[in-house]
Amino acid sequence: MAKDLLKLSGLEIAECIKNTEVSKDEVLSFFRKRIDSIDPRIKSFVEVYSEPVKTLGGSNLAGVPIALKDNICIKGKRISCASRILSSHISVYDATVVKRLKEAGLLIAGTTNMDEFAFGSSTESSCYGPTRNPWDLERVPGGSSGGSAAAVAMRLVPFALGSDTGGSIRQPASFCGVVGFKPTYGRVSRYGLVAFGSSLDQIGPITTNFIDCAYLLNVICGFDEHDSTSSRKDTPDFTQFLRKDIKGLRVGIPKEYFSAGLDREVESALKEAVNIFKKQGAKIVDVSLPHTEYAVATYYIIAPSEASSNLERFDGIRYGMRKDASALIELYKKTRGAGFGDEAKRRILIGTYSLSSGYYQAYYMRAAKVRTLIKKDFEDVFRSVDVILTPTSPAAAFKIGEKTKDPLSMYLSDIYTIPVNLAGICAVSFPCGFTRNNLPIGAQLIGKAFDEGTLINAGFSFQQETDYHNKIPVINM
Amino acid sequence: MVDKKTVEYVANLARIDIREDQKSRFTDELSRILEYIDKLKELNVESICPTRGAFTEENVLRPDRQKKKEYYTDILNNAPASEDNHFRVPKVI
Amino acid sequence: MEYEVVIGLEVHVQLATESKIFCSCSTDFESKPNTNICPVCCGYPGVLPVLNRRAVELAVRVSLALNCKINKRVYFERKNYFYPDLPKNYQISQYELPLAQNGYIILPSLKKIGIERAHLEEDAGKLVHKGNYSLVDLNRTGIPLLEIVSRPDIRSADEAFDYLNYLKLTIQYIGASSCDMEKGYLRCDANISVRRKGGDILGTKVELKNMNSFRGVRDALLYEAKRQIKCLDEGKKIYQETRLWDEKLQKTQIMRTKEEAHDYRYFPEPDLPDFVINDDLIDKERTFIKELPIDKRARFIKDYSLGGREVDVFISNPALADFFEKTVEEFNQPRQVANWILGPLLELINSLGGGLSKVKITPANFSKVVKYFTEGKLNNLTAKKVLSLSIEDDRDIDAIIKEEGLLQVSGEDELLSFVDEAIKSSPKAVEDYLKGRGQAVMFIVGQVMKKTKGKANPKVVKQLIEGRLKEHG
Repeated sequence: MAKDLLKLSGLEIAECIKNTEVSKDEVLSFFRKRIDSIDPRIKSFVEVYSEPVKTLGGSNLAGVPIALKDNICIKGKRISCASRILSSHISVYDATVVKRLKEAGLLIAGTTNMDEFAFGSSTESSCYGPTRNPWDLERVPGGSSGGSAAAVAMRLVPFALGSDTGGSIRQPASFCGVVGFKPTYGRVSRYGLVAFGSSLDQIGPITTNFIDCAYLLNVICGFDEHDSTSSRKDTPDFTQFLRKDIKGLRVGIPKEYFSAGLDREVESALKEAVNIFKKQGAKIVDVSLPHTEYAVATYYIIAPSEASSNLERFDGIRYGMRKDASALIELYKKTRGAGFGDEAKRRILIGTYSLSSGYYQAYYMRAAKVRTLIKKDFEDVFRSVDVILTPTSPAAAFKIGEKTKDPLSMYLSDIYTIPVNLAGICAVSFPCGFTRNNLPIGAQLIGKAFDEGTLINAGFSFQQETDYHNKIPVINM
Repeated sequence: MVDKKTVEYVANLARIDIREDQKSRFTDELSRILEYIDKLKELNVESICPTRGAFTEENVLRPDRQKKKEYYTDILNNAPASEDNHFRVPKVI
Repeated sequence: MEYEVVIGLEVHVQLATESKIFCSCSTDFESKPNTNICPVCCGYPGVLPVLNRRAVELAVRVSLALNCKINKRVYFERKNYFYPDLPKNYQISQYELPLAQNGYIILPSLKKIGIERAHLEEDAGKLVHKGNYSLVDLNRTGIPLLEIVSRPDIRSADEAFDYLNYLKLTIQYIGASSCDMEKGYLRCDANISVRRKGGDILGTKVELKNMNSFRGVRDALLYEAKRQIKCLDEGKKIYQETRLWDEKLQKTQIMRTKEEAHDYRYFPEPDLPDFVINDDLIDKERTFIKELPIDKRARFIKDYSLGGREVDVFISNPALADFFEKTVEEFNQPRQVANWILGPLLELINSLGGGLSKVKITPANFSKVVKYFTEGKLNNLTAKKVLSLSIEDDRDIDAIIKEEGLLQVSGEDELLSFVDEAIKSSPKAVEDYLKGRGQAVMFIVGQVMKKTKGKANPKVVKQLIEGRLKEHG
């Protein structure tokens, strides 16, 4: 039984529970034992609950444990965004996605590690210390949803939720060899997601396969009256797209994503992926997204600007950490000075600067205009293709500490994922190979706004032909 | 690109203490990042409309109805410093 | 040296909604601190604003009543600054493109004061200062406000008072707010500068805050104008600063805590999509704008031939105005009706307490009191008595008169015996009268009134007494 559970998808586990082949408690206990024995080596969890969060609901996924990134609010639980400033904060309400998970009978097993306030691509800026990549403990799992990706890769839970602002679901998914999906902006409610970049953030599923991904999307997607940016568009049943057939699918290959700076092994894995799609009947089209090279610069004005404003609320007055002082301004400065880590401070400074008087036009406004150009690039390309295929990241997982001395180099590694958030469209990373050092390589499929279905179709199809997603890392205990 | 004084000014605006020994590192890092961001000047965006958010809807409004008072006990309990059902802060000067 | 005072006023009005602007917390006036709060208005991690439809509707209504141009596409911006009464440390407001612009309001003097802009924003909480610390109450955080900024067209403290009064009345008339300044539903800051009369460059602007009533605004402006003029006369510089009005000391003082001007870092609010104001909404809100107070004032003066001061009482009290008009419908002598409402009726209302709500007498019944007085069936005293007997329960006037026997007695024959009695029992008054003190007769009249329980016609009584005394004299 123990071995079986390891190989089963979340959906299959739920079916076993329904068929009473195994009980809910046995499933919980299985994963709990795994977490207890393995997680001390990778530290993917911030908190593991002794009892999963209570649920009264049911669905195709009922009874299956799930982990949530430490920035999604669960009522009565500590939600800290891996930051000292919130390290003892207990949430007083449930995020909408949490309500929906509960209604679907999923069991929230705990919260996962992340970069502080989601600022980062390596999970190294967490106040709890870094999470290690289960494929190579000396390497990062990616970020900022590194904990969720590592936990799923190591099958500590069948699936997890992360959040993606510039690639924070997709990049760690690619470093850890799992499927990480960023829905279209507005598909999933942001109510209860601690805000980083309000016009960029989305919650999404991290799974081992596209079947679980589709079922989880069914649970979490949909209009929410508490989120004014959530879309009123009907949510289709995403499981209907779990079809093998992709004949005639037009796959665009953007030249800007395959230029200098791309690791050779990643390039060849992507070439392989292209061949697999071709073999299945897809039509490969060369395309161009000319403003790609400006995406990182655009993002690193807009995201920190929004973040600097979103983080102003952390001031020690109504909740969270407080460093007392005799005067108010001192209270703010001491609390925020002690509570925020370096990367958080960096982002807040960049954002505050970009919005400040005298710089607003030159920075924020300019970036907002370039964002329009980037959006238009995708709109133009999607006139002639259905999906776009790119690498998720220029290279596989880097070593812990390798990029922390040079923030800019860390930012530049997000080059392939960032444009998707700027355009508000959907994308998914899925495993498409391994390096010589047995590190996962991720491919990214980018879809039109609200066209998650096509991505699921293409990804499911790919996973029928490949085996990468079934590999489980081995850790010498 | 930016100097220490600017970093201090911005840190003050953002109400964040930065240790003296960190100031020069932050100044360097910020300078390099802002220098990179200057890349955007290469583009002519004069006639382009700025993207003002990622909205997919318009006219999102809620009806004017009161909800029940279910949060205030928890919220007051979370206060790091309180007195008499108020949040307590040091003097405002 | 003749100076001209230039004043602009910034008014914040709480719109009459049930719930807050971005969350569904109650807006009911609540004395118990921190009870009308939730994670959204307290700036908890992960929360998001959702715009209250009624706030937009009422904002449009006020803007229409102020003759503004409505900007069809509304969006919000964040105004970032740190303060304990502002939970998110940013306020969701409007900056670049307000809801409405370029309106005006007409004062009784017929002067037009321009309205620069009106925009929607959320209110902050309340701070209570306690020596070396402060306490924060977030009940009011998130209350919907309409900020109305006038053009600097106001030229005197009195004019400012009129502006505030008519702005308040206009907003009350259309049901957009109760404008109760005591509850904090209406707040006012002022900007004032002085310049040489005839000049066209504005002087240095000083901002005034902490005025808690319209009178306070007027007094603060009067003081500050004097202060600035004195500065200029003495060749001293006027600094651009914010000054607080001290009601007790009756002077303005520099705000000690003022730092350099805030850098608010305005940027468009990413959590709220645009709202487009269509013609349907505008047409619907226009139906709530019936008669504006300035127009009603003109109508009352014209149609009823009443004086401006009297009409102002009616304009300030729409229920009273309504009562007046309905009474005039029954008895078409507006002068008399006005006298009786503004005199005896208001007196009774004040002594009863509780305002017009305690008054149960109907206009139809009331009109009879006025009618009978005018016809001489009741005199001043008996009319007042009848009114007091009917005011709380609308007892029928004719019934009261009959039961209490209050019909005025004017017949000389009936009155002569009372007159003689009164003369006999008022020797001193008679002596005074005969000595030349004409007023002494009123004492004797009073005696007759007492004896007849107020029913006697005082004019006739006076004549009879004077007649008698002449005979004796």
